[in-house]
Amino acid sequence: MNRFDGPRDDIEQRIANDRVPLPTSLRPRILAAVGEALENGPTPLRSSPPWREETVVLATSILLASLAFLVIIPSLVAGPGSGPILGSSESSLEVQARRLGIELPRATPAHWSQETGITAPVSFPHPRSLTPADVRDVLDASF
Amino acid sequence: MDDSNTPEREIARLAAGDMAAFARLYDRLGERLFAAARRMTGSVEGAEEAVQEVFVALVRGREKLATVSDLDGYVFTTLRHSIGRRWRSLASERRSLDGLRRSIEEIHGSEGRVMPAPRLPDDELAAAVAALPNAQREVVALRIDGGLSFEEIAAAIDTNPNTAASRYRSALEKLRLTLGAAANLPRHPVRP
Repeated sequence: MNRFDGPRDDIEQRIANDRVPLPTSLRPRILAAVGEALENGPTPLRSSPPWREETVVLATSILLASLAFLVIIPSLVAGPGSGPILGSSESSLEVQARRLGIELPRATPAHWSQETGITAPVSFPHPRSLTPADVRDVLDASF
Repeated sequence: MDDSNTPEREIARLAAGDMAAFARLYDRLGERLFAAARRMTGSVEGAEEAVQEVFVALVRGREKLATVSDLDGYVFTTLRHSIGRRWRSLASERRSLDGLRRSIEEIHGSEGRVMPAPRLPDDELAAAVAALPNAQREVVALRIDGGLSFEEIAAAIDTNPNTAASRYRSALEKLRLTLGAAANLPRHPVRP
């Protein structure tokens, strides 16, 4: 262990000489503080850092707030089937049809929409298998 | 063989809350702790408070002392943490005070300034040490005032001995330059 064993140059010497005597009042003051701390008992060791619980609560709050902002509130404001569902590739019409148990033809939503001309959400009277032409007929009958 | 005075037995007494053991610890390390604390804080009052905080922290966390192998290093590490908290607190207070002063100056102009300018130490060496970055100042304090080795300093500041030694050399070089430049300046303003 290479402990400091005395100044080796003028700067170290100057720093070493720049000492203030230890105040005599410090010893009784510190021993009194030690005695008081001993009476209060040791601080219990914590199993986890004090910040951990607060961090978990904060992270959960942020997550819930984000969830409400991105998913729940938009769906409440917009109403059911009125727009694309976040995180889903289904169109509103596909969602509506699935809810009613209607099996849509195997085509992309864009192709299917183009073929039927349907862009607005619709309700179907009976769950059954429909082709795009059937859907058009149902809609014509509804309006 | 009497082993009642070995460091291990002394640490065990501290961990058990032996008041006399804490008094002996103060008698052995108090002067070095106070000197290092004064160098780091730049004030006698700050050093007294820091040393007191160290001992109170040691008592409160005495159960951890049972696992300590290098007691001196542990005590100086506690000192460094205590002063680090003080530095952060002072920096925060200074930012608040600066903001307050700016607000007052915006409202009342510079004449409304009520916060005194920070008082610089009169002593050239103290001023030069105070101008060092905290990381360099604490290494100088732990080395010269605390009498620690670079290995112990490295453990206290959580780095490696080479970095501690490098910071120490850089600090001394800065002090040499600052004090050398100060020595070349006229001590009294030259009257025209």
